[in-house]
Amino acid sequence: MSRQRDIQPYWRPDFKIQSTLPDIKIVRTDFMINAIAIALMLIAAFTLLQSEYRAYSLNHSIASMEQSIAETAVNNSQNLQESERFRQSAQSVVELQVFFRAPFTAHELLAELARLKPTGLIFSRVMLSNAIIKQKGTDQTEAQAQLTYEINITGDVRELMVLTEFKAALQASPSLNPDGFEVAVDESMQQRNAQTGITPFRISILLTPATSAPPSKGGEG
Amino acid sequence: MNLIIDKLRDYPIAVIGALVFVGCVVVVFVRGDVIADLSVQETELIARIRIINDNVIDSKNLEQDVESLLGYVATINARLFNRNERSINTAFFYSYEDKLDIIISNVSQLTDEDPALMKGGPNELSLHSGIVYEIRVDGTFQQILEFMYEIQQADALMRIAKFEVYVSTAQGAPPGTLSAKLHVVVLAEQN
Repeated sequence: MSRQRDIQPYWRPDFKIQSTLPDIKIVRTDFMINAIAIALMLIAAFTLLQSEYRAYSLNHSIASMEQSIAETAVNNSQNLQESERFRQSAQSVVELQVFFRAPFTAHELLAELARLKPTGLIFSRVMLSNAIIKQKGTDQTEAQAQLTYEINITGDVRELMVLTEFKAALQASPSLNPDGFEVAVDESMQQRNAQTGITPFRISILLTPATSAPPSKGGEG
Repeated sequence: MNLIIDKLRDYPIAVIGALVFVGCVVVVFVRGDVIADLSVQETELIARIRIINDNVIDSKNLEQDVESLLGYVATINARLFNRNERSINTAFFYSYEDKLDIIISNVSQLTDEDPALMKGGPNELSLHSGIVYEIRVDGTFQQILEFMYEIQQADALMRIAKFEVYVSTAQGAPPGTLSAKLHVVVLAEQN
């Protein structure tokens, strides 16, 4: 018996010794503590089992995938070799396309100029030349080398309106307005010969690579 | 120690439960890295398998495609000029005199390459090179135009990069005769 139980109070209004009375609580303290401890144990055990099962599944899955990779390794290696052969072979064909890359072919250009030439206009010289320019890149891209093309036509004309018509025809010609280029047609004339009434002229057509417009921010109706 | 023993006597189930709980927490904590590593490994393997599967799909008929492509490459290589065979190359252009009834007054192989095809140029070549020829031709407009067309259509791979066509100033040239100076770039073997 505990010491507390031996202490006799001097006065007990209800004549009861509390510590000797039976525990009449509905849920006993022992039960509460055990229940909490068991619940925590079960939660921890479940978590452990779950993670172990996950580890087991992962191991099983990894082993299966490694086996699958090992089985296809030879075939994959052959595929990669074939792909490399294809890439190297394709490079030759790509270079061929690069070599022939131009907005027009020379004979087609000359034929087109001859077709557009109105009666009353005489060509004395037709010239096609090209030059390399460096287009300024954005912050992310370096300056890129690009080709510009210049067509110069010199000749004689008696009626200046004919020259105006010819210039308009040049500007409207699809062959002289290839995709990806900005075209500028410029004309200049020398002094008219007072005796013959002929005016020497020069038309210059400059094709420069079109600069791509910055992307729209959208949101417009 | 006595306190634990007293508690163990008072609440044996609770104490054992608490010990199991602590043990489980420790094991879960220690093995947590293992699961994370395995997950990473699994993700990498899934990515590898996906790549292998993509390779299988992409490689469908690849062997035939490669053979076909190699055929094209062989055809291209057979059409390339050899820059050391100067006489053969020059004779190639003069051969058009008979075919087209034009006068080719000069064919010269320029020492300078086309800058557009050189390293850093807009049409940079890495497997091939370009030889530039300056060809001077005299004839009617039709003949010069036909010559330009034939050059473009030749078996050898070539194109006219620059040209200048003007009224001939040669003495004794019949009226309507034109002269042309063409810069023809020919695809050749790598230097």
